Amino acid sequence: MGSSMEILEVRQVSKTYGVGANQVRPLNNVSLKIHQGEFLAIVGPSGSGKTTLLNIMSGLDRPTEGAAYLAGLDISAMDGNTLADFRRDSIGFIFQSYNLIPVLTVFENIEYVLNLQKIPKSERRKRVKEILETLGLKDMESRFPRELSGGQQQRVAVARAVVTEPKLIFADEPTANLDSTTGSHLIQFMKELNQTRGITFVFSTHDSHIMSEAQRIVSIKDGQILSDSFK
Amino acid sequence: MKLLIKLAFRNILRNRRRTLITGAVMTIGLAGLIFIDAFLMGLIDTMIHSATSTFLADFQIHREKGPQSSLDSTIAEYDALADRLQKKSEQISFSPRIVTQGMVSAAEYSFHVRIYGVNVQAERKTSELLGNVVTGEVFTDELSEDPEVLIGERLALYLNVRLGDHLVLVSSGAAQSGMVQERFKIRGIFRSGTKKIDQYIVLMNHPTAKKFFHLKEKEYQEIALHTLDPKLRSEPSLFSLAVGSNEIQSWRQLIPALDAGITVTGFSRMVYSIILLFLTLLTVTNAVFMSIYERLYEMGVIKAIGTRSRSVFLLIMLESFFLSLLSAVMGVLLGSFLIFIFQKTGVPFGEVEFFGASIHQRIIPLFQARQFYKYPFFIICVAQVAALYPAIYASRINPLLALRRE
Repeated sequence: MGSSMEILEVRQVSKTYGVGANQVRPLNNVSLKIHQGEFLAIVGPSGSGKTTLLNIMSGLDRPTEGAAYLAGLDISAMDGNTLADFRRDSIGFIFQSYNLIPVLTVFENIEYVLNLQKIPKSERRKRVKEILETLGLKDMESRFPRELSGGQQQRVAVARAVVTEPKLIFADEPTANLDSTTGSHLIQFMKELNQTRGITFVFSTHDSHIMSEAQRIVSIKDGQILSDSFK
Repeated sequence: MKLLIKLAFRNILRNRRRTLITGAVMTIGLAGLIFIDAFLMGLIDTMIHSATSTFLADFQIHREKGPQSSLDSTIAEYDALADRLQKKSEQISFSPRIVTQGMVSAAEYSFHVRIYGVNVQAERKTSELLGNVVTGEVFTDELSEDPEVLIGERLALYLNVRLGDHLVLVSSGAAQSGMVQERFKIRGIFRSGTKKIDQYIVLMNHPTAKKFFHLKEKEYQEIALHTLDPKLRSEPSLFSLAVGSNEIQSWRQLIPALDAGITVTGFSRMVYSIILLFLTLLTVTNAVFMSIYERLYEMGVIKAIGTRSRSVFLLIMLESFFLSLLSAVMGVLLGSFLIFIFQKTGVPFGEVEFFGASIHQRIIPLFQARQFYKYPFFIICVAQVAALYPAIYASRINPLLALRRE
């Protein structure tokens, strides 16, 4: 564990979709605490509820019961705009698909989130250049996503998630669409960022490589936590 | 905002085929609006020109209570009035006319007609009727031993007479002269294209008319006024030219049917505009919705990483704005090009009569200032209205649901 300071907590969270006979409950009374600097993997088979848990922890979804607290704030109770601002300022996202904006260049894609934060142009340029350098994307800054490989696009997505210096990054199956070598490189990038910058990473995955690199593995099945182990 | 503008502009170039089709609909719609407006303005101009220039003229002065076709309703204070009109010679030309009703008879048939005594020189400057003589020639201003008249082609046909034939006119003379009748030789036959003129008008020169109707010098029933520049048709100072117990009437009062016709034309222009704008509205709404559905996942991503709903709304509105702006420029260019081409060739319209005005020449579309600001503005506004609902829809997209669409 990198630090003992608690950054995220979900308290007795349940989620129900549908009504009557069609009702499903992907999460059932889940409680979890995540500490700053952790490199944590939530693992489980498809339909186990790991993505639902990730969505609730990141404020993309609201629990039916219970609450999620990020840095002490109840994100389950925030309104849409506050939540958008909160995600913009405090959270980074890496999605399974290459989620870059196709009409923006690599540089502009990374700069986009800084633009949302209304950071001055000179500061934006400095920070984007720095992260491009760190992630070895310097030569690709003026390329459009369609001109990059899957691995390169996912690195840009990582750069975009990191550039705002968030406390926490959520990654939903980030290596699912990558070959094992590229996926392995990407995990190493994220591991380095975790170690050098102290950014907390929370993965939803069934990639064994991520599991082997994770410091903590939370195993989930049928909407409930089966095990929570630290390395 | 700068970022949104950049994104919006690049987004409209993203699916070029759809942008091209949507832009083409707006461009063609706007070009159509502009051309229809230009064509209808040309049609109205032709109708007014046809109605006024053939014989009616832009204004007429009569004794108060309008044209009565009675020889007793002579223009009051003619000399003073003529002086006044003469002083306006840079703006108008005028022709004093003797006007009454009568009956014309040839061998077999008789018809009711309107008889006009005109001064050839003045009439040529005021109306085009004397220039429409297709058979024979126009009489002179001299009194002829064998009195002569000009009749319309239609009247000649109905009376079954030809050039050089004689016909008899019967009418009431001036004051107490009682019935008058005389035999006249057909010196020329005119064809104006207007049914009423070609069927009901008989022309003779002033000396012949004065002698026939026993009129004194300078006794006229009508003065026709022609404005040398069509823009003067609504010049306020011309409406106060009549003196004494005379009154002046513009073509609008003289042919109210044409005035109503112009209103109808304006209404039909409005209907075309509404239909075209409505079609544009539906097309743009559909295109914007399609573009949103295509990038639903992307919308989810940008919302997930912290883009506010308001920014998503603005993005869609900006995309529609840029597309409509580009289309407006293209539409103005295409519309102007069409007008330019048809100004050279004219639009064939056949020979028809509309609201008392005959049209027998090609319609020349007319450029109007409003075509370059009003209609493009309409198109841009319609595109914005069309994008409103899709933009609200996009701004309310739940990022989670959008991300699940992948």
